Amino acid sequence: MAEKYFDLDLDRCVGCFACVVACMDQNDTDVIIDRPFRQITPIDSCYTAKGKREYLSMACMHCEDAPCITGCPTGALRKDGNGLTVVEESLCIGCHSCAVACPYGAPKFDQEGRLRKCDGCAIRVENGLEPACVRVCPTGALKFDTQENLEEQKRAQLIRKITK
Amino acid sequence: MGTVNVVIGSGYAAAESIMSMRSSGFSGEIHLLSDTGWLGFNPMLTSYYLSGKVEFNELFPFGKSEDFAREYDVNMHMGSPVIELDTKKKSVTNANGEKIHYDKCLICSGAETIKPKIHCEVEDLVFTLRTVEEMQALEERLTRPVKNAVIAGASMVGVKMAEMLANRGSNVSFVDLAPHIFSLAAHENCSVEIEERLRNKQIDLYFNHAIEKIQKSSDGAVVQLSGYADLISTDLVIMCVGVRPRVGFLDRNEISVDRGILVDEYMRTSVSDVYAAGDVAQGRNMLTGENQIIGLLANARYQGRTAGRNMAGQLEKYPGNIPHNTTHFFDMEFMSAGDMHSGDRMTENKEGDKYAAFCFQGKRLCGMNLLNMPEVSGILKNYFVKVLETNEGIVPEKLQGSSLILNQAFSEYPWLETILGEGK
Amino acid sequence: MDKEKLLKGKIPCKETGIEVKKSICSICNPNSHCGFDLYVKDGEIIKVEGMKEHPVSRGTLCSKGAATRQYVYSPDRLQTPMKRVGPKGTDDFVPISWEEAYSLIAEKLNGYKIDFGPEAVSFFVGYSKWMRPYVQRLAQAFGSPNYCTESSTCFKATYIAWKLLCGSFCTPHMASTDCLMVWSNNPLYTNTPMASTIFKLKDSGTKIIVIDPRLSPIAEIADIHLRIKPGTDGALALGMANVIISEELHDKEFIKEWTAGFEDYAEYVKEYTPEAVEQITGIPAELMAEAARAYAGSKTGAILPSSASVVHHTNGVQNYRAVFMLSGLTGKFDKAGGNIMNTYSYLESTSGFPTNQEAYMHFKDPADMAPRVGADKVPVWCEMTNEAQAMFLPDQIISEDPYPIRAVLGFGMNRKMWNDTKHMKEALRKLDFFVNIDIFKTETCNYADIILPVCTSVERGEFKSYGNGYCIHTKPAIEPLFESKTDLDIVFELAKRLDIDDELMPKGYEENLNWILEPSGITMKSALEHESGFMAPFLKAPEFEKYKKSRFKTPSGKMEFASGILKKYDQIEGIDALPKFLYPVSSPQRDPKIARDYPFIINTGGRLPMYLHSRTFRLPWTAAMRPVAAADINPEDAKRLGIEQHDDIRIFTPHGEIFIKANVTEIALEGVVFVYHGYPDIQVNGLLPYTYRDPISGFPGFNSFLGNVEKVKKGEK
Repeated sequence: MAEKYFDLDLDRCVGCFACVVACMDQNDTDVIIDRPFRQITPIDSCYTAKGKREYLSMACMHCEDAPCITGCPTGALRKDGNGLTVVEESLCIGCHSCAVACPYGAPKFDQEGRLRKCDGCAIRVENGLEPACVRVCPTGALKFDTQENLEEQKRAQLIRKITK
Repeated sequence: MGTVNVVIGSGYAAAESIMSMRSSGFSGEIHLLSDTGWLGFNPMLTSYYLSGKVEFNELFPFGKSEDFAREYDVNMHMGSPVIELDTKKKSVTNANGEKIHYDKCLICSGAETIKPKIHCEVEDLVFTLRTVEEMQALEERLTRPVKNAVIAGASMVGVKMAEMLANRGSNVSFVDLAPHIFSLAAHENCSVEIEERLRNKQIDLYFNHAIEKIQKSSDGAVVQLSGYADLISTDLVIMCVGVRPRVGFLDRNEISVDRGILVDEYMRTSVSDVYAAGDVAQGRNMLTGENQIIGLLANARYQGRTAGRNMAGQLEKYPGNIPHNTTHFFDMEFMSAGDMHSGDRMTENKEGDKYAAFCFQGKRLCGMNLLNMPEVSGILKNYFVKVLETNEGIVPEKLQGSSLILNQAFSEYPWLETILGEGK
Repeated sequence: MDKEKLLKGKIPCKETGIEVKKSICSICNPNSHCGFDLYVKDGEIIKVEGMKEHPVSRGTLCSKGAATRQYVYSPDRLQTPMKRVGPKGTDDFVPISWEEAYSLIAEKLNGYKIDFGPEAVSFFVGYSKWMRPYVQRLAQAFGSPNYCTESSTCFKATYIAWKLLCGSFCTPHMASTDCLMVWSNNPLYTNTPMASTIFKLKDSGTKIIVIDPRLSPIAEIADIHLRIKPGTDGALALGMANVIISEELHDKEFIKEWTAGFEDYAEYVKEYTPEAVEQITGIPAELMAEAARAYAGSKTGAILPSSASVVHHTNGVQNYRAVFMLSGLTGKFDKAGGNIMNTYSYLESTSGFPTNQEAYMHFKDPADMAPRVGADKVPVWCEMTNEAQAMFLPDQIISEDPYPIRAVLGFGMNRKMWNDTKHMKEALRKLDFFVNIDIFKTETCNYADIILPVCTSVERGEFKSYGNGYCIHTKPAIEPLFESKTDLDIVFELAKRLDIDDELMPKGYEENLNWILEPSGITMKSALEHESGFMAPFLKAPEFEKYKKSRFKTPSGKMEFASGILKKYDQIEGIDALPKFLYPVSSPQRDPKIARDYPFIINTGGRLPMYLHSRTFRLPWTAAMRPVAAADINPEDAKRLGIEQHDDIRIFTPHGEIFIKANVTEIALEGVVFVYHGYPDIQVNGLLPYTYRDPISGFPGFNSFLGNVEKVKKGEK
C-alpha cells in the first residue's frame, strides 16, 4: 500500500480549531499540564501571497527523511510501518535534540522534559482509520493521503510546497 | 574480486555510512576497523546512563556489533587502532598487524578527549569521558558517595555531569579557563544569564582559571587553581575541557588536514578515493563558507550517510551545516546556532525564564542563542539555514512572509519578531 | 495488535469492548447539529467523532462538538433537582427528589393560574430547540400567551423581515447558485457542515460576495468583500438597489406583476447613490456598485443572511427588509439558485415533508388569551409571530403593566442574554417563583427557586430533521448522568400535573410526536429502526414561483416594497412602510451629544469558532484555544491609544463599563471594537440600557452602540 502523507490546503484552512480539539480528545490531553500536539497560527494578510488572512494548522509533518530521527541520540524516534514518526517513550532522555532539529516546532515536552508529540494517530492508521485531526476537519483542509491522491486533489497551495 | 570499502571508526558516522552503502546497492566487501569494541556509542549519553535514565544496552542504537555485521555483511576488525593509512598503496594497517587493501576508504575516527597534563598526587580521582571504558570507570566510582565534585570544562558535557552530581547531592564546582560558560557557543550576556541560574542552584563557578595541580590533603584531595588562592576540596575531578579530532595516524603530507580532515560536499578528502565524515571531518560551515568541524550527532549521521552513498557510486551532496547545539540541563534548555562572537550588532530579550539573543553583521544574521524556548528553537534554526541558502544570510524585510512557519514562532513569543526584525 | 495498544488507540472492536454509538450534537444552531459516532466503553464516552453517514455533516465536527466529552462530563453538571434555601442570587440550595420538585412546581403554577390568571406564568425556552413545540403547546394548554424563547433576540427578526416582504419565511437555495451573497454570516465558524458546500460552490465558479465589518474567514475567500460599518446594512442594500435600478438591471416584469410599492421605493433609493452610501457605510463607491452588478447580473443568486447580526441594531428589521428586497428586485426570488419561500417540517427545518407542526403549536387562538408580554410595545412582533417578546419580560415583571408576571418556567434561561443585565437581575429577584431547567449550574440558576437537571443530546433520544429531508431519531448513547432527565420528560410530566386544557399532551411524547409527524408517513417507531438516520418518504422537491399559484400572503397579495403591515404602525418612531434607513439610535448621527466622549462603535455579535453563546467557555479544551479573554481592536486604533497586545483595557458607555484585555488584530475594523459575548465574567450586555431596542422586533441593538476604550493598569478594576 502506498505511503500516505499529511498535508494542509492553505486555501481551505479557516482556523476553526476542530483539529486541535479532536487531537486532544483522541489523546486525552490535559491542557493544564500539557500542550496539544497540534496548533493553529493565524497569519496576517500582509504576510501571505494572496494578501488574505490564512491559518496554519501544524503538528508533526512526519517528514520522510525526518531530521528529528537523525538528531535523536537514543533512537527513541523512529518510523513505524506506515511511515509515521513515532517515539518510544521509554528511550527518550529529554535531551531536546529533536526540538532543535524540527523545522515545524512539533516536539512538545511534558513536565519531566520528555518528548510528547503527534504520532499521526499511528495505532488508528495501523487499523485502517484516519488520524483524528483529518477525520474531523470540516473544510477538508487537512488530509492524510497518498502523494498521488493529494496531487490529484490539486490545490493551489500545499503546505509541503510552501515549507520546502 | 569485488570492490572493497574500508571504514575506519565505529561511531555514528561509520554505522550510517555502512547502512547507506548497502541501501545504495553496494554489494562489495566492507571492512570496519575500530580501536574500540563498541559500535555506535554516543558519549553524549554518558550522563543519562550514569543517572539511571537509560539502560546499558540502550546506549547502542545501532545494536550489537555482531548483529550489525551480520545484517549489513561487514567484516569487523574491532579492538585495535589503525596505525597507518597508506594512500599511495591504498592500504590500512591496524595495531594487530592486519593490513587491508581498499578501493575506497572512509575515515570516521572521531575525536578524543583533550587530557591536559596536570600534576596529580591522588590516584583514581581524575576521570575523563569519551569511551565506554571511561564511562564504566566513572560508574564504578559513583557507587561510592561524592562530596565535592570539581568539573574542569564548563562545556555541554560538563554541565550534564554537574546536573547528575548535583542531583545526587554532591557539591559541584566548575572550573574553566574561559571567561564564561559555553564561551564558544554563547554570547556573554547569555552566559551570564545561565551562570546566575547555576549559582542559584549552589554550583560554584571559577572562570578564567585552570587546574594547576591536585594535591593530597588530610581528608582526600585539594585542587589548586591557577591564580586563585583558596584550595578546593574534592573527591572527584572530571576533565571535560574539550576534544580534538583523531588524526594522529594520518600523514599530513599525503592528506589535507587542518584541525580535522578537510572534505568537500561529497565528503571527499584531498586524496582520491578517501572520504571522511563525523567529528574528525571538517566540512562546509554554511555561515562562513569555510570548513569547520561541527561535532554534532546529526551532522555525523548526515555526513556518514552522504559518504556512504558517494562511496557506493551515487553522487550526492551534503551542503553542510551551521554550527549549532542544544543541551537540556536542570530546568534550562540552551540552544545556540551560528556564531555569536561575530557581527557588529546584537539584540536580546528576556521574559520570565526565556531568553533570546541574535547577532547581526549589518542585515546578515550571524548567530542566535535561546534559553528555554524549545517551541521555537527548531523553527528558528531551520529558518537560519534557509536564510543562508537563499538570501546569503540577509534577514528579509517581510520577516513572516518569507517563511510561514515563522508565524508560529512569533505567535508563541510575540517579542521575538521585534528583536529578530531589529537586525533588518 | 495487542489489546493494550488497541485500547491506547481507542480502536472500536471486540477486544477493546469499545462500541460506536450514533447520536447528534446539539450545542449550536439546529440546522447544523452534526452526527456523532460516540466511542463508548463500559457506559462511558471515551472519544467523539463525526458520523460519516450523516449527509449534512458528512463525518465532520467543529471544535465545540469535538469537545463533547468535556461538555457531557463537565464538573458543572447539575446532578439533582434543587430547592433554594438561601437568599436569591446565592448558591444556597438543597437537593430534593423529582417528586417533590414536580409537586411544588405544579402546586405553585396552578396556584398562580387561579390567583392571577394563566398569563401570570411565563414559559421560556433557550437552546437547544428540540422541546419548543411541546413547551409552546403546554403554555397554550395552560392558557398562557407568554411562551417566549431565545428567538426573541435571534432568528425571529430575520423571519419577520422575510414575512413582511413576501408573507413567508425564505431560505437560500444554495445547491447550485451562480452568486452567493453572504450578508453578515460566518458559516465557516458557526455552521461547519455548510463549509464544504461553500467551497464546492467556490470551486465551481460561484461568485461570492461577503458583507461583514470583520475579516472573517468567509470574507477572506470572497470575490468581493464589502467591509461595512456596523449598523449601516440598510443603506448598503438601498445603495445596491439604486445601482440596480439606475442601470436597469432589475426584473421589470416581475416587479410590475408581483410587487406593490415599487414606485415609492424607487423614489426613496434615489438618494442612496454609491457616493452617498460610501459616506454612510465606509464602502468604496465603485466596489459597492461592482457588487450590486455582480449580484444582479448573475443568472441565479442567493442571499445567505444570518439569524442574528444584522437584526441586532435598532434599525435591524428594516435593514434586512432592504436586503431581502434585492432578491425580488432582481428577479431571483422563489427561483432555483435564489431565495425560496419555504415551510417548516419539524422544528425549524425546511425539510420538504408535510407535518402538523403548525396546528400542534398554535392550537389556541391568541384572542382567547390575555395580551402577550410585549404586545403593546412591539405590535409588529406580536402580529407576525406567536411568541411573547421575551426582551420585555423583565420590564413587565418589574412594572406589572398591564398585569403582573408571577412565575417563569425557564428551560436554559441565561439572564446575561438580556441587555442591561442589572434590569433582568432585578426582575428575577422580584419574581415570585422561578424554575430554571439546565444542564449546567449557571449563574442564572442562583436566582431560581427550583433548579431541575437535564441531560445533553447524547444522553437522550430525539427526533430531528434537516434541510435536505434527512431525518434521524437518536437513542441515548449513554445513560443520563446523575439524576438528570430529558427536557421532554419534564414537559410531559408537567402536562399531567398542570391544569391544562388539552387531551393530547397527557398522552406522552410518542403520541404527540406521531401526531405532529402524521402527514409525513414517519412514526417514532419507524424512525428508530434506522440507527444512522434515513431520508424522509414523500419528500417534495422544492417548487419554484409558487406565488403564481397561491399569490403572496401579504395584505396586498403581492411582494411588498412598501409593507401594508408596517404602514399600520408607522406612527411609532422607527417604523415605516418603506425599508427606510436610520442610523442606530446610539450613533454620532443620532446622538451627537455623546459622540465626542464615546467615539468608538462597540459590536458584540461576532463569533469565535470554539464558543457558542455561553456554552463552551467552561470546557478546558475550547477555552484553551483563546486563553486570554480579549476584545478585538484594530492596530491603528490600538497604536493611537497606546494599547499593545493583551494590555488591560476598559470599555465603557454612558451606561456601564467592562474590563477585558485587548487583542490587536486586523480582523477588527478601524473605529469599531469587537467584544465577544458570552464570557462568564464579563457582562458586555450590561453596557446597554434595556430600552435600546428595535421598535419592530424588540431586539436589542447589540451590534452597534457608542462607547470608548482606554488602557488601564494591569489588574485595575
